[in-house]
Amino acid sequence: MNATAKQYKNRILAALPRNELKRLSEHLSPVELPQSQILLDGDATHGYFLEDGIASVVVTLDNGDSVEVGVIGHDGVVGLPILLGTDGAPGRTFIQIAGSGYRINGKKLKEEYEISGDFRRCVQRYMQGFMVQTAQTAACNRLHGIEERLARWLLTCHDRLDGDALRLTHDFLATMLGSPRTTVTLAAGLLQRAGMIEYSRGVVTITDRQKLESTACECYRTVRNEFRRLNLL
Amino acid sequence: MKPVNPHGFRNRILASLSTSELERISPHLSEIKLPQDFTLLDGKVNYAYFLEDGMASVVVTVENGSTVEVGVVGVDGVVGIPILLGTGRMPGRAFIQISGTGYRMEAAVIKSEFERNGEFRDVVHRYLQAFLVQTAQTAACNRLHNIEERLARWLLSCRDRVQTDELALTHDFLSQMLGAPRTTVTLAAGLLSRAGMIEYSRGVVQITDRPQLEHTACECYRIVRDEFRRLKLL
Repeated sequence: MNATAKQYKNRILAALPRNELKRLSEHLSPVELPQSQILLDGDATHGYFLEDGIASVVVTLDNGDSVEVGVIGHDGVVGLPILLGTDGAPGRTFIQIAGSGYRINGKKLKEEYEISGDFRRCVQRYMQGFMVQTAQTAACNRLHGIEERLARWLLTCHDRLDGDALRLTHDFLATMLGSPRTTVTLAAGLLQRAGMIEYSRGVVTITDRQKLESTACECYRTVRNEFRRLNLL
Repeated sequence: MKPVNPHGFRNRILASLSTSELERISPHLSEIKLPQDFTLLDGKVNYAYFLEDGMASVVVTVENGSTVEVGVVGVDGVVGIPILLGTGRMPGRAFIQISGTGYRMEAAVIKSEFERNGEFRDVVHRYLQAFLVQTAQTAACNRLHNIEERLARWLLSCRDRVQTDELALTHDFLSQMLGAPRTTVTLAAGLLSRAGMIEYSRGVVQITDRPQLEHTACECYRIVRDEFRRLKLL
């Protein structure tokens, strides 16, 4: 693969100087990432750099309920437990919105982090971004209502994707937001009637971004601004 | 600058370092008293703090002034993540919830220590993961669990990190941390008290039946605690 001529959408890869990218790219295998594919589940053997699509980081409770605690797209890397040298973590990361990207062997990912100053610094910025995202979500999940959380989530995904169409179902959304499906359907209906989104045949299209931004809770803006400051969005 | 405690550290990060690493680091550790409400981080942060005793709350404050606690730090870790990750600052605030003591290290020193490919970085990495697991679990917990189980979880998490059985906390504090109205917290605390799990008197909570409290706590307590233990931080 001619890495030096390639333009990466992934923000970590795109930020690397040529020589580091060349070395790293020898270990990157291009992969298609279909919806539902599991990237991390307890153990972590590979890392992923998404170019397109969205991965959800989910915590599942004893009674089977799941709540999404973070979203990863081309803004970062899937595999922080590998980089942090811990072999795995509670929770599960899987593809929510299909896309594509690069896969790297866990050992190679960790080696690169150890030897490459630029890569390490980029990843460390992402570590903070991800931490800020989950911390804000911890507050948001306690304080904010379903419409503003739904709006936040749609915008967060939109920021990480090309185009305005998100292929997903109300079931997925209910699981992700930790709310009953009926509640999510009602909230989505509200956003739709207000002209912010259109939902049809499993695809949510964002039709009025500004209005959606003013409906979202401030958590959307806080996390987005931090990601922009860290050069991840 | 007082000499470092020659009898060893209670802070798990410092306690895990080899003699040679400690020899290099300890001249840069200044002992510091940490009174309740002392701010360690507020967006910006100038020092890293290693608690030996006491506990810090990490909180997010939203526009209408409500705060929610998203993590706790005691002997299990270090406060100063933006320094370590080289980002300058981080939204949120960390302040002392339960007073204690600890060590302070200047930003430039801890940053260069972290940059070395050594033990210090390895153990701090483990702590970063533990902290991430804590906030992630809290994100789920805050969505799905009720006030009694969250209060039980919180009291246990706190007790695991401090050196005392007596936790000096007011219902006001708890209400802010748990993001619930004070009346709700008072009711929940009353329930735990009547069931014999805690005693609450004059702003001090004492855990009187630990097994029952663990049983009442949501699973989030166990999951996070087990991860901290696996990572050798508790």
